[in-house]
Amino acid sequence: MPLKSVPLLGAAVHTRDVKPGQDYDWYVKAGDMQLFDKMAEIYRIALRDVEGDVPKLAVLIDGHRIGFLMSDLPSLRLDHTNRVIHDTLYLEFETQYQKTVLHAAAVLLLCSKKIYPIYEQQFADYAETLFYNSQATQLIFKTIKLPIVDKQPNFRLAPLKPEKLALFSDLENQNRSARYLIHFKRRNNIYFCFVSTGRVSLDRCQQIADKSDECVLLTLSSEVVSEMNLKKGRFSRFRDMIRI
Amino acid sequence: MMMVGPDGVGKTTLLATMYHELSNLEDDDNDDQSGFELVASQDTHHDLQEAYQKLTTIVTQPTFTPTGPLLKGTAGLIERQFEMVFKGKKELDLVFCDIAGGIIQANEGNRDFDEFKTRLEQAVVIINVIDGSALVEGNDSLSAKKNNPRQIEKLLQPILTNPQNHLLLFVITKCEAWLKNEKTQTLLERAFEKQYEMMLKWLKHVENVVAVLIPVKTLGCVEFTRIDSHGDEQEMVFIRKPNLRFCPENTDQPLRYALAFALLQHNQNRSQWNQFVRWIFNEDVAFQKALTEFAQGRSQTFKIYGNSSLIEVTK
Repeated sequence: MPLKSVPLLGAAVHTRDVKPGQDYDWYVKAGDMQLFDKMAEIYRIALRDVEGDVPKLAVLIDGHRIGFLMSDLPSLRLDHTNRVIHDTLYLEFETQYQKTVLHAAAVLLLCSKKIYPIYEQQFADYAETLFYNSQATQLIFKTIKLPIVDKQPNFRLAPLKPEKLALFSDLENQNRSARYLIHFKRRNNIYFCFVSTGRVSLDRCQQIADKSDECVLLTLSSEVVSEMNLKKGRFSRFRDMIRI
Repeated sequence: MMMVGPDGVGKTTLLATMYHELSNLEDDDNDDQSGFELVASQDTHHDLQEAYQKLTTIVTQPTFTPTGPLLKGTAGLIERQFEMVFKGKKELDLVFCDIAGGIIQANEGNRDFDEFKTRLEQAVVIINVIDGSALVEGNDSLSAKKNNPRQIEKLLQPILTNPQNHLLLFVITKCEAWLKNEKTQTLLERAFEKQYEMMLKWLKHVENVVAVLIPVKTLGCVEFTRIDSHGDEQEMVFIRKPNLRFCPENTDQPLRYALAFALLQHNQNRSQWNQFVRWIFNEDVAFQKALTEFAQGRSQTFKIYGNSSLIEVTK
């Protein structure tokens, strides 16, 4: 499993503690994070309390920063009613590492269901270490190891266009999204966001699309039929549905 | 419709089992010809079915040892979308709000808490889920910690005093061990009335609220055994009984009460014009007849507090 170290600027962990009342929240916020509020909003809209067996992650590029979030990471801790505590890890980097971060997201989309838990474990370990050191005044990691692409996407599939897209999260669209991320070229400093999530409604996808210049949103919602353009408003979505 | 209760009392488990049980009854029960159908949005259906499937895996867990995790905890506020359909035509939209239990203890200004308060103010039916094992076996402090009746009362009082009619369902979960005979059921009921005394006293003086106490078996095969102490912390321990099947009981009842009440309120609040049109086409009689039939599916054995006339459905 090839990995690459990337200098980290800031990190945050959304988790819960064991006792009653110590509910899910952002327990760790460390380092210099400029995109945290925006990513926390994306998490709230599209990743928190979402069901469905798909990679749950988000990437956000704005200004000179890139944020990467991975959610639903099972920890070894149990809460007071014996439920597994799940962590969400947010990491922020300089945009000069954009390629490595986007490649890491692509790796998670391309890997098999058997391999995914290995990456999940790696990120969960980072999250748990940050959680156990939540009192530390400084960011305890200087670098983070991210996976490098070792499997090519399927180039026979139709490429995605730079738009505001919601896609049904099947293997084909996961593959197309991975290819898009691997070859992503940012134009004119745009605000770009990528989300891979479970059953998140079209309305919620639209909320995210409205805040970005370009986005790709993979969802398992039955409201999203294959591919939908969120840029042109409701009538075009209706047209997409009829066409498909 | 809003679910309330501290974290870990079984709100999501109840929602998944009650939806599953009611849809099963609709599919199987030939007696239920009322014409009403609860239809979940596809995403809600998948989420709740998936949660139900996870609950059924309890039977694969070892017996006589503390039960392991089944569902994830909820982190925020989740809306579950349903439609109530009458004879194939949508009658009303229903939203069930499931919450992270910790929200009830949050402060004003917390986004989740503010959203929860807004939803609570809009709710016609409020389901307070209560941990039965803590009610009966916990001392005052443990029971208060697990179910937090004071906080629930503080949240509900201002909501329930607005002029809208409300149904408040006290649904007791984790109480399989006390639903075996009349004597232990009475014990459960008395423990509830003691812990919720203030709220029940208050309910006697309000005209627009009716409350129903519904103990349910959400899993059926798991029973409370003991309380373990870890330092200052106490933990209720449940084990899977080998001779019992995964078999939820009465979990359709809260939903039946909730839906019958929502339909009754919906029918009473129709505009005059709508009532006139329905009278012309004789739709009002058909609806009322169907509602009466649907309401007959509610068990009459539960204890009722407050203004019981609010849940009466007459032909």
